[in-house]
Amino acid sequence: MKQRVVVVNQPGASGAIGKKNAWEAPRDGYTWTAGAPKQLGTYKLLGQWDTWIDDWQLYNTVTNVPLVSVNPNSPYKTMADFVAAMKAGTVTIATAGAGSSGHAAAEALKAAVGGNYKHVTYDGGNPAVVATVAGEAEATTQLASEQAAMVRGKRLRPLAVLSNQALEIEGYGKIPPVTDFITTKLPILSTTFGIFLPKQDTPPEVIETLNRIWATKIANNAKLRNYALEKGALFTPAAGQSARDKVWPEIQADAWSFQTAGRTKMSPEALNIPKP
Amino acid sequence: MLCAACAAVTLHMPAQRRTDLWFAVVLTAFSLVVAVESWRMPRLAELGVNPMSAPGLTPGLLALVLVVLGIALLWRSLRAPTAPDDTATVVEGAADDPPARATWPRALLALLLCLVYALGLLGRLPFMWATGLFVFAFIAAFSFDRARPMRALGGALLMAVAVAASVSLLFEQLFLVRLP
Amino acid sequence: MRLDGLIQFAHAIGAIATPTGLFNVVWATLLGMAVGMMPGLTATLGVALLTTLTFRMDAGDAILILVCTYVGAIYGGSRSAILLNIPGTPANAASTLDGFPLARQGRAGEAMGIATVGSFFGSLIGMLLLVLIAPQLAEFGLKFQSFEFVWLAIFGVVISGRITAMDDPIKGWIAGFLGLLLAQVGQEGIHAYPRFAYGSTDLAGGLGLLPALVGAFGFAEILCVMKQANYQTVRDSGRRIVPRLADIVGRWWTILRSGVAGTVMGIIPGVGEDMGAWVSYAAARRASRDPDSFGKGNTEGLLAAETGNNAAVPGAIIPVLTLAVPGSAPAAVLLAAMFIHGIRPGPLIMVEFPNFVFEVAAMLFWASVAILVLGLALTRPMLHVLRVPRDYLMPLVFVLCVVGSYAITSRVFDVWVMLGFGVMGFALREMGYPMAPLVLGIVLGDLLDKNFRRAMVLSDGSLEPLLTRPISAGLGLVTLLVLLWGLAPVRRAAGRLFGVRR
Repeated sequence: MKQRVVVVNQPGASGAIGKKNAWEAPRDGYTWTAGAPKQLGTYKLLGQWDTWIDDWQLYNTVTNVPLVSVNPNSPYKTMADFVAAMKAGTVTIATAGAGSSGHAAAEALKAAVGGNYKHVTYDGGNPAVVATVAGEAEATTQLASEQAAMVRGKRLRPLAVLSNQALEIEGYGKIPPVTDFITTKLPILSTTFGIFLPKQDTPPEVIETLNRIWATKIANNAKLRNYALEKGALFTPAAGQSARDKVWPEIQADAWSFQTAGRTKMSPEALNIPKP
Repeated sequence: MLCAACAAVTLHMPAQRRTDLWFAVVLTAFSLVVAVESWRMPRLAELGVNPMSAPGLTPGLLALVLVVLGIALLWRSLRAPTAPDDTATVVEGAADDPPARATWPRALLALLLCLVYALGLLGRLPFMWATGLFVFAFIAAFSFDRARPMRALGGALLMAVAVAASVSLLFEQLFLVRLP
Repeated sequence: MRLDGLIQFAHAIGAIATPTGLFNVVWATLLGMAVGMMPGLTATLGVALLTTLTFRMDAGDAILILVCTYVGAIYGGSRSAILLNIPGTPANAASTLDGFPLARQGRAGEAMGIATVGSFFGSLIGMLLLVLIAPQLAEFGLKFQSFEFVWLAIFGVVISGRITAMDDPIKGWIAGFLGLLLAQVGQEGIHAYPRFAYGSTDLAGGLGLLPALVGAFGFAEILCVMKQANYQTVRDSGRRIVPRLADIVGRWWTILRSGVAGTVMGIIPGVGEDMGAWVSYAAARRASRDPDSFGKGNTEGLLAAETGNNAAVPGAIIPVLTLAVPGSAPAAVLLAAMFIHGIRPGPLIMVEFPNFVFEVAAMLFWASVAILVLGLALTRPMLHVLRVPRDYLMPLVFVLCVVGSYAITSRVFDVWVMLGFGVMGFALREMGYPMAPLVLGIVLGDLLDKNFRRAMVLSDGSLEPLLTRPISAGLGLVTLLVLLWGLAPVRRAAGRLFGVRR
């Protein structure tokens, strides 16, 4: 579309700070946010920020899945060891912060196997993964894409991918799905990524243009597809309502997982989020 | 050189000591308030947050450090003016260079002009007008003790127009900065 | 690996050599020199103001401009040190000792030439060390975890407070911890809880880093400058400016020693360019066969001081890139600028932004070349900067402070923050509180907060790892020594013990 894009990375508070800045920026259609749209459905629930998924126009790109990895020097050789440690409540898990995908994954595991864990938060996925490599935290439940390089370099030991199918990482091989180890049904933990911008006051022609780009250019973009395969992520382009429909089960899963963990400020039912 | 500096400090001791004393009181009181406010901050325990990551932890401890430093400053400024280690250096360095001529009215005038511009003029007048007016007033106000006041006023006018125009154009067009 | 770096470095140097790039190098370096020359206007102010004004530019262009301004300002300060006996920036204080006596002897031109060559080689040596050390230090920095960063932040303000308030370290520490505390206002980085906001959305957004820095330096400096009566006009600069080749070649050892010493001083968090100059000066004097001539117009002393302070510039940038901990006050502003441009320096820099270290080194290279060429070619025209009356210049600087603090987020609240920090900074200065630790504190506050609370979560609230982890313990010990060295009773006791009188 022949437009220069300035990327401003504003880490912290599960991306809430960066998204808030985009929300408060002038609505000229030139300030977008990139991130996980499902978080837009849970900020309100957690009492962090009064915003809602329908306030935003969504454009999805890829879907990532969380991966449980541990420091190679940690005593956990298999997912079974890890589950036992979680039941005993002795494991330290690094994530990108409250409400991040890594946190949601850890909460889901906890809900499925019981026990507890020590939650250590970092400024983002990369710092959380590095802290695990360095041994400050024992494990991380961040996304596979954030861990791929370290897994390939043997500096992290992947135990299980939190999905119902195995994940292949280039240069490492297949990582078994968590369903091989846990019989309890886990909620949906995938995270769809994309860009989004506030619906209100954004000029309609901006939205039209983006819709067109998504339908024509992004849907069969080979570069983006290869990128997703290489990183072990799924390529899932969608725009507008269909994008929201794809994100909705993720919001449901997250909302109720936070509710079970007692971290919510209101019931998901108050926001019309049905139990998955 | 260190001795000269010490002497300069001790020579001005009474006034210096007084400001230190007042500032120490203000700092200690302020830090105590901050410490209490940090303690009262929510611990977010209802969100399942680890109590060690409570938002008030760091500001509270920093405020306590400042309380300690404030009390130390207070204690020091309350001590007898002739502390043994201070007297040793007083005699030397008395013939030091006189301090550069510093005048408070100039600083206060500058402060006043700047505040009127930033808080009063901007937002009420268009940026260019407010800026021109400010630059002119500033230069004119500090030019009265000059040899040729009329020439100074002319210079002020010239500078005002130049600054107002160039800042507006340069930043709106070249740096793409939004002006207040 | 090493060769890889050299190739990237060469590429980065070439990448700047476009008409736009070189144009930016020239004007930013000249502007930096002018800011450095003006007594009262410091490198910190120059970099802070330009950060806000170049905010909308591309990140690479903006950082290039800032680096050139930084190098130019530290160098430009030597002019007023030589000609007026007033250091243009705090970093040039050591240059007055021999620079001004040289000017008195009618050798001002020669002195300026020596200062130029010294600054050039200083920057270059610092840049080389940056290319060599930074990637290694980043790798080592991966060993730095939450506990170590807690110590680094505390060490930074403690040593900066100690060094910038030599006579009265308690004031330096108050300034430093006040900076750390003020940085805690607004939404914190772990749970997004708005601290000290009391319902105000402006306060919840926090006190903007750059408006605060522009205020504490820009506005406060305007008030300080206006308070002083005018300084004397410039005297004749003498004839010779370009130094004799033999003078430089014969002094290669002084240049190398000062360059390395300056860089090392720069690397230590909180120890700035001024210490780079003082340490190099002291070393040159100790090594000299004629130490008594120092302070009476010895060209070697001037050369050492100016090499040392400019070498400290790349030195101070090294921890900015590899640990996200600034080496000095202007470097702290540079770090803040990198943050707002979306560059996250730190131990991960070689992973997340693999070329950035070499790009910064290339920027330093061009800035060094620019001060050599512009410094020697424009010696006389640049002297006009010192003749500009301050009442003409200061209103312009203030207008820029207002525009700059408003520019980043277009919030009127940021202008208030600038004004508030300006008045507070002015009052603190007048009471003898240094500004450098305050700035360092403001920049390090967030790092301290997140790492401290994370460390406490990891250790279940135990402070023990702060003292038992090897790197932590080392940093803690050094911090403690700096603290003790600053306490008058301890100094007296040590003096008695070793039988030395101060």
